[in-house]
Amino acid sequence: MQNELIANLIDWAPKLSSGLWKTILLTLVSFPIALVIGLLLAMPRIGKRHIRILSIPAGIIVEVIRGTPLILQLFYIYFVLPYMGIRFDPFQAGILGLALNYGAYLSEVYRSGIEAIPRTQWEAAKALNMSWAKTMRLVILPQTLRVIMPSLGNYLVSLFKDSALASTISVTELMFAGRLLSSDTFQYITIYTAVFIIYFIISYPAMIGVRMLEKKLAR
Amino acid sequence: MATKHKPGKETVIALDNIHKSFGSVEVLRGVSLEVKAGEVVSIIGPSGSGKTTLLRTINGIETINQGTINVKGITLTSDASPQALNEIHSKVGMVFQSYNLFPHLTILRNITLAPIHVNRVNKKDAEAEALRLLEVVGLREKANNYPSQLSGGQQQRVAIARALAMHPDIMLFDEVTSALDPELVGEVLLVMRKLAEGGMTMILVTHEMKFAEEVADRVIVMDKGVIVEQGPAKEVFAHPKTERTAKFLRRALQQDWMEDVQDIQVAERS
Ligand SMILES: Nc1ncnc2c1ncn2[C@@H]1O[C@H](COP(=O)(O)OP(=O)(O)OP(=O)(O)O)[C@@H](O)[C@H]1O
Ligand SMILES: [Mg+2]
Repeated sequence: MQNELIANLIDWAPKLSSGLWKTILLTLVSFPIALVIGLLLAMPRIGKRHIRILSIPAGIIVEVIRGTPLILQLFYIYFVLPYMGIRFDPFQAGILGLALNYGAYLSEVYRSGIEAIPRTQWEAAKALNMSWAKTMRLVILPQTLRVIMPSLGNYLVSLFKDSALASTISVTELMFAGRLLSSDTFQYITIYTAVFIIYFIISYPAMIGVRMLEKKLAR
Repeated sequence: MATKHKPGKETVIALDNIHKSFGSVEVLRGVSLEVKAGEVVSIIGPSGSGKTTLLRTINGIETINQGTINVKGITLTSDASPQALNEIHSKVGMVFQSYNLFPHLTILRNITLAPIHVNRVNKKDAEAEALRLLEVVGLREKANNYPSQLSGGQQQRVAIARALAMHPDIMLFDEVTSALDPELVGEVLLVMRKLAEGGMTMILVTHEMKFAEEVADRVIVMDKGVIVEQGPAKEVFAHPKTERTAKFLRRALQQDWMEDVQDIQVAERS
């Protein structure tokens, strides 16, 4: 029995590990993109007058994304956009969906983080004749990033788990590999338990890391 | 007492009938003022009289609703161009009550940030200049510390050095010692006194009546958004023209006197 289990696990290992690799890739590629999208969506809403006009479209994008399910957004990108002539392979669609969705949430994180920096920092920079963009880049954002680092960590862990939704548009990540294997072998208990454990083994230390970071920054 | 630097003839700041409102509240109601090169002007007056707002309009942090500001040939009106505002920012340095250092940067970086990124000074020159200024304010050994590792008085001296690194023609000080513990006030005033003696044109809002009397060429009393009195400190303090000024001065001078008593008591105890 035990030998059989080990033999099975060794059998499945290549598929599970290639799935895991895809999951990690999906997470590590879409998160930086989400960070950039979030910043771009946040800027018009805190910026100076001449980019304020963009705050309306940026606000609409954020609200639409936050007001609809991620899985639907993935379906939309993968199944609907091709009708408009925009075609992605599953992995690209997964990256795009996750990055957009997380970008919308991260824009709120940036916004509240930036707004938490005292107005006096802006004034000090202005008195030193620094432009808005230089103040943002050299004074405000570095301080903001420090403050929002734990939040970003939490979103990264959350993105890692949500990437499982990409299995629904046939991205061959960990969840997808588990589903494929279990429908081939009917070994639901062992396979899904293995997948369960793999997700947890990765996200738990990350969660602890975030908590330690939070404590360190709070001092 | 140190010898006072004689102000020059050239007018470097000319305010003409400045009005400024926040919403429906008019905070400055027609302020006119001329300051000569090298002159040290001290602004006093009750809380809410518009002292801070006036300083902030002079370096363009706050825009005005009416009137004209002329600083070293640059004119600001109610519809000042971004260019004019930039020129004003670069000619006028400002030091704030709450220091406002950049907490994520070392002292050295705080001072070199604007010279490097705004004035395009190369890093080496900017650092050499920053170290020289730190020497002037007596904090060279703190160059690589962060602001949070410094006392309030030290932070304020760094803030002065940071403003000076942009080589302003005029320095504005807004109650720069009010947030400090009494024993730290002196070191900051000393730096300001050195600056004044070096011929810097300065406008300072202060509650330090003794300092105003010793260092300022002229004292200006503001009340409810207008200048109500001005003249040499001794004259204004001794012969206030209005009862309101007299009352304000009595309270302010008494406070100064009480701090002296406290200082003596502290000294006696230790
Ligand atoms: N940004 C602002 N928005 C609205 N009202 C403001 C603003 N800044 C200042 N005021 C108001 O303008 C008036 C003058 O303020 P100001 O700070 O210039 O006074 P002050 O003479 O410096 O007072 P203090 O001695 O307390 O520093 C006050 O009534 C204040 O509430
Ligand atoms: Mg004030």
